[in-house]
Amino acid sequence: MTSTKRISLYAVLIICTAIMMFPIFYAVSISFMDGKEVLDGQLLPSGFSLTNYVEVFEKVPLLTYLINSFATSAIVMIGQLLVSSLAAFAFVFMKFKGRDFVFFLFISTMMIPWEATMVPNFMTIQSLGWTNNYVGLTIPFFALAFGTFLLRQHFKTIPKELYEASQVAGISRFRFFWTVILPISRSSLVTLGIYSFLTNWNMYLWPLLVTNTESARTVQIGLKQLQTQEIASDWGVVMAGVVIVILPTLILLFAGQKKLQKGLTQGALK
Amino acid sequence: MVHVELAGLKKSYDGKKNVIEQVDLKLEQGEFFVLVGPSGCGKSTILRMIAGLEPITDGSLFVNGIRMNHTPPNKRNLSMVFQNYALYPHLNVEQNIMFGLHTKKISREEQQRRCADAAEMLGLADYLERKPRELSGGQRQRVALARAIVTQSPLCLMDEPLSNLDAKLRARMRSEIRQIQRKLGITMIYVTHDQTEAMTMADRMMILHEGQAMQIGKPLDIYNHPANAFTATFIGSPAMNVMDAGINPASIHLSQQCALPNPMKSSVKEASKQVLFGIRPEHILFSAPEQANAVVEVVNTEILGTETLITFIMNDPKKQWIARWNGQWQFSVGDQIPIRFDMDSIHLFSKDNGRLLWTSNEDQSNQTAREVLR
Ligand SMILES: Nc1ncnc2c1ncn2[C@@H]1O[C@H](COP(=O)(O)OP(=O)(O)OP(=O)(O)O)[C@@H](O)[C@H]1O
Ligand SMILES: [Mg+2]
Repeated sequence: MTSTKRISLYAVLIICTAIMMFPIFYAVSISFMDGKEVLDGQLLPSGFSLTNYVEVFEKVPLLTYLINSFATSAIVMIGQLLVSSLAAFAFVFMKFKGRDFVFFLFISTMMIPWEATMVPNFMTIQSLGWTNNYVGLTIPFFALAFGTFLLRQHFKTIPKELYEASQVAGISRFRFFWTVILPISRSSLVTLGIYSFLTNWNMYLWPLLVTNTESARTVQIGLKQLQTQEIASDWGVVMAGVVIVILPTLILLFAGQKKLQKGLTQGALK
Repeated sequence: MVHVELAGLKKSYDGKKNVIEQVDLKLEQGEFFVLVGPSGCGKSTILRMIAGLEPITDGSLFVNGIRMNHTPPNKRNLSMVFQNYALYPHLNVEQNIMFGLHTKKISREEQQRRCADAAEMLGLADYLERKPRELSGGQRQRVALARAIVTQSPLCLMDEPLSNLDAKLRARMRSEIRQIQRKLGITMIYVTHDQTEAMTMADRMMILHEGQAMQIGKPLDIYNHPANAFTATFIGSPAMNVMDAGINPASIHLSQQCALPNPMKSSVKEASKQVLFGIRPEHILFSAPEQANAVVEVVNTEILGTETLITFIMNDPKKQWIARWNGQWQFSVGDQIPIRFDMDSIHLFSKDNGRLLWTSNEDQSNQTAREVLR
């Protein structure tokens, strides 16, 4: 590659990055400003005061929300990993009549938008009395067609001789799943884990539906609450809340980027 | 004592076409039995049916006289070495070797001891901590072998375990496997598509072609007495020359110029018909001109050092014959040389079904005696 080519390539990339990153940068920046600075349209705060951050914790029970979000995301992540990997294992390693048909049926649920099933799901949860607690927030998400699909693609690349060898050796099916399949598929599992954690962390509509007490709500609702409470008067506080909420997302992305990429493309290529 | 018996074994994957047609076989305790045949003939299928990894469509499998058709793999008391080794990539060599031993209700110390013994025997002692991907192909293969050995199962199945190795390593592993099998007295069923492997390792072997057993027997018997044209060309390297020939009560015509006396005088049924004429390369001899059956044209010579392979044609350039002579023979392409067929070693096969019609050396003891004298 010639140097001019390289320079222009980098220029384009840098511009794109700047455009992409600007809103986030501006949000961080606003979170340190007071109300007057924001209205003046300043790009950079005059100082790094943490008053907005203190205030956001006082105005809404952000800590409770954070804990709720974290707990539900973690539970959903573990649930999805378990259910998806077990389902994918059955679809790949167990022979039964109509396996492909069932799988097709399972996968076709990816076509149905989550919003379409929201009302029936809500009614189910309500009649079970699961509103306002973790059970209602997590269990409806355990079966994930996408996760099953992703893991099935990966499991299919595992030589079936490994399974046969363990059959001959007398290893039970579950033990094979646990001690061979899961360790071998670590990268796909990490990918799926990050994906499901983040999806759940960013969920808004469902928590709004099934929770109406402060003690059960999650951060995304908290943010919305901030916005409406403040009626756009104190953007600094709102942005402080936003920064706190996106922090875990960013940390997870940075920490898991390599694995995430690898896992997603691995599933796609094979 | 009969260890494994296959009785009328059949297999069909789609319910219509039989991939395995009627295989009958009895294996003795401690026998090294080789299943050999070209790719896709159903060797792995038979092995997998014995292991219980593939359901048996029809017929019976007996082990020690007990019908085992529906016994799950882990209850069949056998070990298996897979073509691609099937090592667990996330476990090290030691863990791989001991994987599954706990199900046999063996104490931890006993497991360790067996693993150490097997590693010692196979020269793996220095690699116990390594992961499979850090091993060479030959070392991986030995890990797979060790995993089969430590179970101390009386029956071991191997599916083309040497196919990924280079020629030299393959030769060494051949004799290693054979020695281990003898030492432990295991009954072995060994699958290969390589006839050299079959010839050198087998106590007895079965030649399989399109799901049908073509011949079962000791390697030398099969080499000397092929029951049909397929076996004749499959076993032996270079392969037996098998050519179309016209036949009448008096003579066999290989070409316009070359006619041999018909040894099959009594059997007039085949008179005036086409047959397949078979002769091994070592039974085509260089001859004095006056005794020659034919004068042929050399199209290629390969000098291997102790012997020379001569490819020649008679009239039809498409029908290339191969002769193997001891020593180093230097011909150039186009040379006309006189040759003679050893009439005691010819085979005639039916053109319709490839069955053996006639051969002179029916009596095997005669044959071996002759081999020794030559
Ligand atoms: N799972 C299967 N479903 C349908 N047909 C199969 C299946 N496995 C094998 N076959 C067919 O059965 C025949 C025998 O296959 P098999 O694997 O036993 O051959 P093989 O002798 O082991 O060949 P190779 O030397 O190439 O391993 C082939 O024609 C193959 O296409
Ligand atoms: Mg095979």
